[in-house]
Amino acid sequence: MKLSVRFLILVLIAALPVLALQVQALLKDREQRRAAIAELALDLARLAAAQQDQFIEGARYLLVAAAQLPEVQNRQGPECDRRMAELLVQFPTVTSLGAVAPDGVQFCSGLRGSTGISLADRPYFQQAVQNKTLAISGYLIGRQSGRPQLIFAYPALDAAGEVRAVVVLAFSLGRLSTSLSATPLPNGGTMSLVDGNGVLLARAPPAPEWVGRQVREADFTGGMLAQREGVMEAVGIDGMPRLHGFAPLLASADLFAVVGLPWREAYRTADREFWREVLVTVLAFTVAAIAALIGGEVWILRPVAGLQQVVGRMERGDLSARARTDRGSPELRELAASFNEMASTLERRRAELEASEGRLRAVVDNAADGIITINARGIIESVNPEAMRLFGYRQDEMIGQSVRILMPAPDSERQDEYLARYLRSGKTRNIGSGREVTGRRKDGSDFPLFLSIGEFDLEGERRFTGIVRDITDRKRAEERQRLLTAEVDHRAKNLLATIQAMVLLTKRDTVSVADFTRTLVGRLHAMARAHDLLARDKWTGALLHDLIRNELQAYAGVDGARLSVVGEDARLSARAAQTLSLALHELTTNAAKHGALSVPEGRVEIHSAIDGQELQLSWTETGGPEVKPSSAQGFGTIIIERSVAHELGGSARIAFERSGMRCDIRIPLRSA
Amino acid sequence: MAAGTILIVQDDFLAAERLRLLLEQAGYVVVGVASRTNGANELADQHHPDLAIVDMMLEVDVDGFRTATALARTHNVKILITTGFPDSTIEAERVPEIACAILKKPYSDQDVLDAVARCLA
Repeated sequence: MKLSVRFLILVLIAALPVLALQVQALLKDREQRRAAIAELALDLARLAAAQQDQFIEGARYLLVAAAQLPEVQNRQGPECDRRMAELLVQFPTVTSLGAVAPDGVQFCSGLRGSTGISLADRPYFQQAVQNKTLAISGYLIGRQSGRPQLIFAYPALDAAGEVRAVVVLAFSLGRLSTSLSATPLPNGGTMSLVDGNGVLLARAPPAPEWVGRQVREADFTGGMLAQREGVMEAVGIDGMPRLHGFAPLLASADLFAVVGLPWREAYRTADREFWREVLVTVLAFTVAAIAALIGGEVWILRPVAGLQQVVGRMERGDLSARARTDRGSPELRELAASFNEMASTLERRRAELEASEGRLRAVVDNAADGIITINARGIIESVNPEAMRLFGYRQDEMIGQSVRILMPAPDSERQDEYLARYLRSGKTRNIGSGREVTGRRKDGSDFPLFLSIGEFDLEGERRFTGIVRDITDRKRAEERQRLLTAEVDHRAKNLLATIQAMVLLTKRDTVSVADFTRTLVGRLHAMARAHDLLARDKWTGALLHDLIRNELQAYAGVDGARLSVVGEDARLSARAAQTLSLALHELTTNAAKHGALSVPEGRVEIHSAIDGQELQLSWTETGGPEVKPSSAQGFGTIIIERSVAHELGGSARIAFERSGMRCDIRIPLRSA
Repeated sequence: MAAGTILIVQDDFLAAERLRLLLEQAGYVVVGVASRTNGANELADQHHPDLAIVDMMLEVDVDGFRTATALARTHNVKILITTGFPDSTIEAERVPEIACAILKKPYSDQDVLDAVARCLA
C-alpha cells in the first residue's frame, strides 16, 4: 500500500471518533427535541382541552340557567320556545336549544318546528335522566339541521330532586372548528377534538370532509381512553406523521383535545446542524489530510524517493551513488547517512574484491602451469593462457568442450566413466597428489604432462581444477640423467676392468714388486692425465700436441730444449686420445729407461702430419745411447704396437736406428 | 687341459689382451681378437670358433649385443657376454636369452675360466 494512502487512512482513523461523537450528539439532540415537542404537544393539548372545557362549561352554565327557567320547569311550551330563541341569539355556537319532557317528547325549542319529537331513545337523554347530571352525546348528525353536532343534555330538577324536564343543547362542530382555528399553533401543527370512538369532531386547520369520520388518530384511541392524557406518534389525516399530545376535555367525558406537532421538522433542524458540523469536521480533516500528504511528500516521500533512487543505482551496480543527507526528518537523514555508509563499505569491499580478484587473475593468467576447471560433467569452464599455449587451442575452442579433447585414448574414452565413478564412490587416484599423464594437443600430437587435480564446490555444483605442467623437458632431462647415470656406472666398471687388466698384464711383465708398483703407477698416472685433459673439454676430445706435451712435460727440460713437437696439430677423439696417451706413455718411459731421455743430451722430436685420410705421427730419438732391440719384447712395446691397431684400426712401427729409436704411428682419420 | 676355440671381441685392448693371455695359458685356442663387429665376423668366418667372448658395449660399434646376436645366429657360436651394465639393462636387453654366461665387470681370472668352462661343457 502506498505511503500516501496510509497517511489518508491515519487521518480517517483520527476523524472517526469525532464523527462518532457528532452522531451521538445528533441522536441525543433528536431525542431531546422529540421530548420537547412531545411536551409541547401535551401542553398544547391540555391548553386546548382547557379552552374547550370553557366552551362546554359555558354551555353547561347555559343549560343550568335554562333548566331553572319556570317555562322549562312548568313545561310551558310557547313561552319556553320564545325564551330559548332569545338565548340562541346570544350564543352563536349553540345551534339549537330546547327542552324535553321526562317521557322524551320535546316540548320546547328555540328553533321553529322541532317540538313533538321524541328523544327517549337517545343515550345522552337516558343518561341525563338516570344520572341527573350533564350528559354529552357523541358525534351526531342533527336530525333537524343535518349537520354534525354535539348534544348536551342537562336535567331540570324540581325541589324534590325529580326530573321535570331535560334541557338539550346542540353544539355545532363547524363552529367549534372555527374556535380551534383561533388558537395559535406551531407551523405544521394540528389541533383536533376527538371523541372516545376516534371520530373527528373538529380540526384546525379545518378539514370539513373529515369531520364526523373516524380518523387515523383512532389508532391511539385505546391508549387515549386508558391514559386519559399523554403523547403518541401517529400519521395524521394529511399523511404527515406527528407527535400527538392528547388531554380529556372534561374529566368524565370521552372527548379529547389532540395537538399534533410534526417532529420531522424539528429533526430536520437538528439534522441540519449535525450535517453542518459533519461538514466542518470533514473539511477540517480534509485540510489535515492535504497537509499530511504535502508534509509527507516533502518530509518523507521525497527523501524516501531520493533514497530509493540511490538504492536503485546501487542495484544497477553504481556504488558511487550517495543519498542527500540534508533533507527530510532527522531519522531519514540518519537513514540516508547509514545508506551512504553502507554504500561506502560496499564500494570499498568491491574494490578490495576486485583488487583481490585482479591479483588472483594475474596469478592464474601468469601461472607457469596450465590451469583448467571443469564441471561435474567434464565440461571445460575456464582455462588460463598457459593451458591454451600447452594444448594449442584458443580459449573459445576449449570452453564448453569436454575435457576429453585434451587426452589421447584410452583416457579420452574412459574419462566420463572415471568422473562418474568418482562422483558415485568418491574414490580416485587422481585427486590430491598429482601424477604423470599424456596430453593431446589440438594438432594431435601427444606430450607428457604432470597433472594434479583439486576439487571444490561452487554454486552447488562439484567442480575440478586441473593444474597441468608440460614435463617434456623434465622427461628428457630424466632420461638424460638416467642414461648419464648408467653411462657413469658403465664407464666406471669398464675403467675398473681396464685397470684390472692393466694390473694383471703389468704383473706378468715385471720382476719385482717395486718394479711392478712403479710401472703400474706410471701407467695409471698416464691414464689419469689423459682423463684430466679430456675432462677439460668435457670429453669431447683433445688436441694431439696437448696430449704429447702433457705426457712429456716431465722430461722436456727447463726450456723445453729436449723436446720438439712440430707439424700439423689434430683434434683427437676421446678414445683415440686415451689409446694414444698410453702408447706415448710407454714410448716415454722406454726412452727414459733406455733411450734418448736416459741421458742429459738426448732429444726427442715428434712430427705430426695429416696425409689424406691418415694422421701420421713420428717419434724420433737422437743423442741417446746406442739402442738394441730387446730380445724379449716387453709389454710396453706390445701396448704401443697393438693397442693402436686394435683400438684405432691404425698401426705403430718401432725401428731401432743408429741415432736412436724411431716409431711411426698411423691412425685413420675416421677413428682419430 | 681345456679344449675349445675362442674368439675375443673386446673394444678395450687391455681387456682383450688380458683374456687372450689368460685363456691361452689355460689351454684354449684363441682364434682371434677383434675390436669391432666387422673384424669379429671375418674371424668367425675363418675359424668357426666354439665360443665368442663379446663385450656388450663395443665403443666403436656401440651395440655389442647386436654383434653377439648376429654371431650366434650366423655362425652358431656360443656367446659369453662381458659387460659393465647393471642387471636392469641386461634384463631389458634380454641378454640371458642368447648368452651361455654373463661376466659382469670387473671380473676375476677365475670368473672367466669358470664361465668359459660352463659354456663349453
